[in-house]
Amino acid sequence: MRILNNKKALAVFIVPALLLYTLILFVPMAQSLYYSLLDWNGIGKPTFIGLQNFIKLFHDRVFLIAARNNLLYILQVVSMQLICGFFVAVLLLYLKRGRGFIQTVYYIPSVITVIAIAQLFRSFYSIEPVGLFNKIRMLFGAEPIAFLSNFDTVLPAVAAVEGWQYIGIYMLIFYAALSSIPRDIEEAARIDGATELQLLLRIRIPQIKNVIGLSFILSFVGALRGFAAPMSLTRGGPNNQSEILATYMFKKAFTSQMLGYGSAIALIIAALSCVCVILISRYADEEERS
Amino acid sequence: MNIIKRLSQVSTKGLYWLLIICFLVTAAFPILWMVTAAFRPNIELSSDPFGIPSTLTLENFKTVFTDSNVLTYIKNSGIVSVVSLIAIVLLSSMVSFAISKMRFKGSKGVFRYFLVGLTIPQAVTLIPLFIMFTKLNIIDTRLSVILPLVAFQLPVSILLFVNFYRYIPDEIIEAAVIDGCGVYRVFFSIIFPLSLNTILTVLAMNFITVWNDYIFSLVFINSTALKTISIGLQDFIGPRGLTDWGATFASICLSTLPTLIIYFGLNKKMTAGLTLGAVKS
Amino acid sequence: MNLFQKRTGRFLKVSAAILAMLFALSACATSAAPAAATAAATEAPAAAVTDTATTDKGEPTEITYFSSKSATDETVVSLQIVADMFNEQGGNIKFTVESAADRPSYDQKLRTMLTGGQVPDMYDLDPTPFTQELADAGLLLDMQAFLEEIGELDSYVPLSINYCRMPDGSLYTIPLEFTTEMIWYNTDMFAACGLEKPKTFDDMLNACKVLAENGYTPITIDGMDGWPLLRHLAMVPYRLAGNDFLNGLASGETHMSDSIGMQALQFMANIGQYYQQGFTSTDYATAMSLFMSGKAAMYGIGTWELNNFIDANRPADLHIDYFYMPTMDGAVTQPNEYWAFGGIGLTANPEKFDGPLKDFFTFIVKNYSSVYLARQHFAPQKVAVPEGVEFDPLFLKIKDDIDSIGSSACRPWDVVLSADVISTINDNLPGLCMGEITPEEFAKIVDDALANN
Repeated sequence: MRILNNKKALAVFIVPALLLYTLILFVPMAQSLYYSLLDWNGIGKPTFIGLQNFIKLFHDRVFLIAARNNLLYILQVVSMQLICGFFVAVLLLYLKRGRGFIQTVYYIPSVITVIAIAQLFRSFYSIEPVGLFNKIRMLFGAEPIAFLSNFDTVLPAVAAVEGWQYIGIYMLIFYAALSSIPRDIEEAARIDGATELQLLLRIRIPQIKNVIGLSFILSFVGALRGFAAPMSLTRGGPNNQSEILATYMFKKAFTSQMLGYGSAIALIIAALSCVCVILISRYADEEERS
Repeated sequence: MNIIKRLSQVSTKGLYWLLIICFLVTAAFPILWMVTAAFRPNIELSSDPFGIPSTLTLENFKTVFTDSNVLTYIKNSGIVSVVSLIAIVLLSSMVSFAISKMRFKGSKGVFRYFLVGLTIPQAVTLIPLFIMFTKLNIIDTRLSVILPLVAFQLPVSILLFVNFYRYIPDEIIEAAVIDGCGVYRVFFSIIFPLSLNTILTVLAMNFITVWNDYIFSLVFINSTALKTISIGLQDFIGPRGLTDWGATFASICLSTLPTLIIYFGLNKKMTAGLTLGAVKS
Repeated sequence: MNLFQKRTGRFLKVSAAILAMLFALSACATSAAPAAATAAATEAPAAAVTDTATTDKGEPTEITYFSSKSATDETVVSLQIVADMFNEQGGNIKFTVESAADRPSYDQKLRTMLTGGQVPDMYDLDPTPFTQELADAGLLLDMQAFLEEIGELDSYVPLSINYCRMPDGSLYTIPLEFTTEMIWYNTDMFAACGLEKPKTFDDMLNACKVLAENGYTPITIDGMDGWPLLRHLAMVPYRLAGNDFLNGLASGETHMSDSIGMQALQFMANIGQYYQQGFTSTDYATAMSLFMSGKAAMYGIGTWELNNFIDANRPADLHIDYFYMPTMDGAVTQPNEYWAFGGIGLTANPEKFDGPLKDFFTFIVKNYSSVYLARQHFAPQKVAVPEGVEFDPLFLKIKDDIDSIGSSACRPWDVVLSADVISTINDNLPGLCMGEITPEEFAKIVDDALANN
């Protein structure tokens, strides 16, 4: 492939994207690094305080709550999206007609702006006036719950928004992968006497391992960026029970005007996320090897 | 024996259909509710939103068409999305081609460099970008939203393209080179057309993010004439928090229509690209 | 069709699509440019451009008002009317309103704009610590000097204009309204429970208890926006110490854990149990509609919502009355001293404050209040009730109250304390109200935040 190794063409292919990417993502990150060493409100003169913001962070009660919540949030979002998506995809394999219709229906939520979905769910969770979920609860004789006020239910309730919204995408991805498994492999297994369950566990899942891996990364990364839903539903409340790192950072930087402290939080988010890079790198390496 | 077998078949089938219908309802009901809500008067929506609707009205749509800028916002979202998508597809496919086919020292490093971006939260870059854009005098222009959107979507698009390109056999490229094609010919005439499904996947996945962008439009755009739909929805929130829900839902319905029409067409092609070559043969 | 033909067919379709998009791109590039030019041109007069209807006076001066209120807000509508009047009387401006629809977005947007050096021609400001920073950086117009220059300082109702003053007395904005806040209650529910109009906090708590026992929701409140809960928190300290406790919190002389603070917190813990269920995620509209549809007994809101309560617009079966901030033993403030504001103030860019902008602003000061009052709202300046306008009896009743209002008023906490402290208080008040944290715990959290700022 030496003919393709044309330096000028290489530059043309790589440089524009590289330049844009660096300017938009990495240069600001470097600036954030600088800001995180300051005590600054954005208007007046900044004061250099070194690593004090970071030291404060590790003693910050709310930061620790937000970190824990963020982990739970991601866990719930990824599980909902992947498990429900996969489950429905498998179900669809056995459907003879109407598949396209169901797939389209599942798709629709993901193209609606997340703010809209959040408001939709706000009405579902409401207790006064009675929302959908409470109406159902009352149907079964249970007491209505204020989902978004109750300390125990608020985080799962908020995570359910993104978890629900993107199920359709993963369902479509898994379905396409599952349905492109060569028929003969499945037939052979059936002839050998495998039940549908065994077929699923021993043949189908291993066959689409790569897609599952890729979907996991996409879902994880999406959940990591989660911000609009918690922000617009509860603003992280009540009492930080639905606070995640991104909402805390936003509040500190823009509402409390503590840009230095907010930048420090942002850097921690980025650093924690870097762990994923290592995982992704390993995935890329595995791809090279296979 | 036969009867028991029949019974278990029937009950499995029944369970199966029950599950299908349950899932269908959980996906469809919220949307259906929202669409009907767009046709209900605000008084009903504030007092008993989940009761059986008693009156249907077009007043919300009237508010949207006559009293608001929603159509402008949809136009703006459209322009921003189209331009961003073109840029994303071009830039990411070219970089991915270089990484996977044009062997050069450090191609793996460049790939990892781009993947790091997957994990950087957008909110982190807001203030530095705002100051940067102000100096470049592009604040309050569509460019100030398009540039960050494209940059942030490069990692996932590159991931998808690289994943696909690895399954194009080198022989095809070598054959073309022997036939006298230069690098650019190889890319645009051969690779690009081959990757149609992946392009559609990339378009589809990025479209959602780009169309629904909230954070960049919020911070970089001031003028009403340039606002996008996700920000524009807030128009219906009055001072101190009062919201015109009917009009909000009506606008959401209107703004989702174009994207739905696109998806009806691209449905199958989108996922095909994602899974091409992903199944072990 | 073999695979190759299929592929070519598809390829042609795709390239056609891409070509089409590229054409669109070039069209966009050219149309994006003028948009950028118009947006970037905040200088008066606008150079080339678009759809400004020019008169024979030459190009109109573009004046942009970046508002924290939506274009349908009464103050903004009145300003538009004033702008039209200005043009009719010889002025030549194009008055445009840009709004960020909710207050947090507005604050954040304004902050980023000012950080980037983009000052709007006219915009909104509350007398907050943030405004103090702007003033210290020399970015604000000396409104006191301006009003004295045009001789209009005394035309303002003292409580209204003083609301806009910073703690040190400087004035950078003019008020656009004069609002008071009170607690509205459903007289039918009170009558059914044998209750009278509450005068003290104990009366109010007792009323809540009786109402709850009889199966009514005693209070409906917007728990999402922060400030309604903050109002309840502020009442006890204002009665016991005027604004001194609040100012002391800001300066470090008083603490939340002081006796006054703890009494306020205890009051919140007591009254919080009577809020409607799920109040922390109830938004403004829902809270109001709960009261208007007869599902709750009490609702605190100010005169800006008066339109909903007047006979013409109120639901026929809803009978209401109101009471002002309750009092208590040992109060240092009078019952006729309660909530009164000038609302968020209007200011202008001092760098551009000459020529058309200054003329327009002067015109606003001289004409706005008459317009606003004629639309049945309480104006910030002393203007005569215009002839020929029929005012609702409720409006006139409250106007009488305003005429006999005390000389001081309760200052809202979110204007005096720093944003971070308010954010901390707002985050934790719901828990206090729901009994999830104790007053002592709350006091500690808030005192820590105060110390940090």
